[in-house]
Amino acid sequence: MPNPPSPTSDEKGRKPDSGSNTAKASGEPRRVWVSAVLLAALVVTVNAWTTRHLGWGLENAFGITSIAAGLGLAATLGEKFLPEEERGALRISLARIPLAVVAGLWIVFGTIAATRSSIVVFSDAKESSLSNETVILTRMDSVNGIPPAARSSKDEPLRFEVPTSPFGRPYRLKVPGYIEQIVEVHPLTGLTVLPDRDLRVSPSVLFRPPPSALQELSLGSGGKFQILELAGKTSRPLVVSCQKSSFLLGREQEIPSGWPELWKLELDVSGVTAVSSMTSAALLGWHHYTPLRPPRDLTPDMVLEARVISGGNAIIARARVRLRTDPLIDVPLAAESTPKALPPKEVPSCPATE
Amino acid sequence: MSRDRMMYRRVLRLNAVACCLLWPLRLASQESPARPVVQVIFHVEAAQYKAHYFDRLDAFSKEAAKKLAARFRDDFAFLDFTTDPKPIRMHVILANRSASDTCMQNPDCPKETVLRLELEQPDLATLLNKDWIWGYLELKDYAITLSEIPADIEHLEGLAYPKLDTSRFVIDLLSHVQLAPTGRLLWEQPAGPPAGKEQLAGVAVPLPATLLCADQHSVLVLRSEIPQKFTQPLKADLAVDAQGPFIPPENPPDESWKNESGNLFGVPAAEPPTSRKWDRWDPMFAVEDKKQIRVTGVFMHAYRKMDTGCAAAVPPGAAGLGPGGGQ
Repeated sequence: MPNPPSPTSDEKGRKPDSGSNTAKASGEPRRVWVSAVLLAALVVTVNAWTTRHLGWGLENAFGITSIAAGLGLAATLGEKFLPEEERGALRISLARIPLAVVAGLWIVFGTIAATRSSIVVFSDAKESSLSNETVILTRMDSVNGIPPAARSSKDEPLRFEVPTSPFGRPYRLKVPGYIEQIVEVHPLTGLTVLPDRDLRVSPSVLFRPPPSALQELSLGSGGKFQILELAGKTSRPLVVSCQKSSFLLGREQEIPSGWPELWKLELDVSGVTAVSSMTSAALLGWHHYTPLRPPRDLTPDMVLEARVISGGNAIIARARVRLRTDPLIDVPLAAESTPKALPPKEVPSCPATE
Repeated sequence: MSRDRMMYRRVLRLNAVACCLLWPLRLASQESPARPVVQVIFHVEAAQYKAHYFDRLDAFSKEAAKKLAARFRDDFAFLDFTTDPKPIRMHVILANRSASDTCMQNPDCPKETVLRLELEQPDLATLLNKDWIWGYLELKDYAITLSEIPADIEHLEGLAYPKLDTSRFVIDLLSHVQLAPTGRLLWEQPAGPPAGKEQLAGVAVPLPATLLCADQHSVLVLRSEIPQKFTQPLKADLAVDAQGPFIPPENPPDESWKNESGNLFGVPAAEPPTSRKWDRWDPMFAVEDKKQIRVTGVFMHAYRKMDTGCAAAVPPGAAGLGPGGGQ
C-alpha cells in the first residue's frame, strides 16, 4: 500500500530536497507577479506613449481598465476551471519569461521614449482646419521643413513626430496667422500647441489715409492705396486696394474701442472738425476698414510703406512703419503738402475683384 | 542757263505766288478793326486739385482756360479772349483761402476754394482782385470728389462762374485794358446865331458798336490830355455814357463824321458811376482850340452787353460807310 503523500511533497510525489527549493518555490510566484506587473505597466505605458506621440492606441482609460479587468476575470476563471496541471504549466510559462527580457523591453522603450517625441498642433478656434503646407516645423539648424504625419481627416490636429533628447530640443514652428516661434520639445510629454493660447499672433496694421487722401479714394476719383514691403533699398508691392476706407493688413479683428476718440482728437488738431461732414466721413471711413491679406504673414521687424496715389499718379499721403510684436497697430498716413510724382511703371492698378 | 539759276527763279516765282495769295488776308487783318485780345491762362494752386490732377494738371488748366475764355468772350464782348499767346494776359488762379498759414500748409485742413485774378499787361503793373473774392467752394465743400477733367470743368464753370462779380471784374481789371488808343471828339457849333463856342456832340470810339457789343448804360473812360495855358497838358479820365452805334446826321458839320458811322458813340456822363474818381469835363470845354485836345485812350469802365445780341445791332445803312460800317 503506497504511503499517502506527505504534506511536504510536491504534486509529482517528489520530496522537497532542501531549503533552496522552498525559497525557489516561494520566489517563483513573486517573480511571476513582478514580471506581470512590469509587463502590464509596459503595455499601459507604451499604449499611452503611442497614443500621445503616434496617435494610435487605446486612448481612454476605460479601454485599458476593461482589458485589465478582462484579463483578471480570465485568470480567475482559469484558476477555477483549468486542471491543476495546466494551471501549473501556465504559471511556469509566465515564470519562464526572464525578468531581464522585461527589463530589456523597458530599456528599449525608455530609449525610444527619451529620443522621440511629437508636436501636436490644433487648429485655431477661428480657423476651420490647418493644412499640411501652411504649418511649418523646422529644425533649428536646418531650413527644411519636417513633414507632418498622415491624417485620416483634415479636421484632425497636425502631428509632427520629431527626434528629441532627454533634455528637450528646440524647433521653429510657424502657424498661419501667428509669428514664427521657437518651441522646446521634451521627451514623453511632447508639445501640444493651441495657436491662440501658445503662440503670438502676427502683427496687423490698420493704415488710415488722411481725409484728403480718403477723398481721393472715392469712386471715380481714381485713387489707389498700396502697401509695399521695404527691404534695404528694394521695395516689393504687397497689396493694392481702391476702397474709400482705412485698411487692415493682417488678421481681421476688432478696432479697440478707445481708438475712435483718439482719431477725433487727431482730426481736431488738423482742423477737420470745423466741417462736421468731413469729420463724420473720416471717422466712418476709418472705422469700416477694408481687410487686406498679405501674401505672407507679417512678422516683427518687417518694414512696410503705405501710400495713397492720386488719379494723377502722385503720392499724396504716405506712412512707413517697422513692425513689432504688437498684435494691432494704428498707423495714420500723413498727407504730403507737396505731392510726389510716381513713375508710370510703378503706378498700380486696382484689383479686379473689388 | 545753269540748273541752280533755274531753281532760284522757280523759288522766286513760288514766293511771288504765295505773297499774292496771302495779300487779301494781310489786307483784311490790317484794315478790320479789332478788339484787344486777352489771353486767358488758368493756374492751379488749390491743394486738392494739384494732388488729384498732378500729371494732368496742364490738360486741366488748358481746358479750364478754354472754357473761361469762351465765357468771358461771350459776357465781356468788348474784349476778345483767347488761350493763344498774347501780350495781355488774364491769369485765373484756382487757389485755397484760409486765414491761418498752418491750415494752408495742411492738405487736410478745410479751406475755401477761390479763383484769383491777375491782369498782366506789357509795361504795366500787374493788377489783382485783392479787394474782392471770386468764390468757388465754401469751407464745407472742401472735400469735393474730383473725377475727370470734363466733369470737373463743368462743375467749376457751373458753380464758380455765376459767382463772379462782373461789375467788379470789369472795374478792377478789364477797365485797365485799352479798347482804343484814341477816340474822336465830335465838336459842333451850337444851333442858331450867334456863333459861339463849339459844343461837344459826343465821342466816337474807333471801333464798331456791334463789335464792342456795348449797349446804353455802358460807361467808358476817355483818357485825354487837355492843353493848359501855363503848365503841362492836364491828364484827365472822363466818364462817357455809351449810346450805341453812331448814326451821323444827314448834313454833318464835318463830312468826316460819316467815317464814324456805326462806331460806338458816347456822350459825357451826366452822373458818372461812383466806383471811381472822375475828372471834370469843364477844363476840356474851356479849351479854345479844340484840336489841341488829345485823346490818349479809351477804356470800358462799366459794361452792359447789348440785349439784342451783338450781331443784331447793325445800324441801318451802315454798310459801306467806311471802315467802321459794320462787320
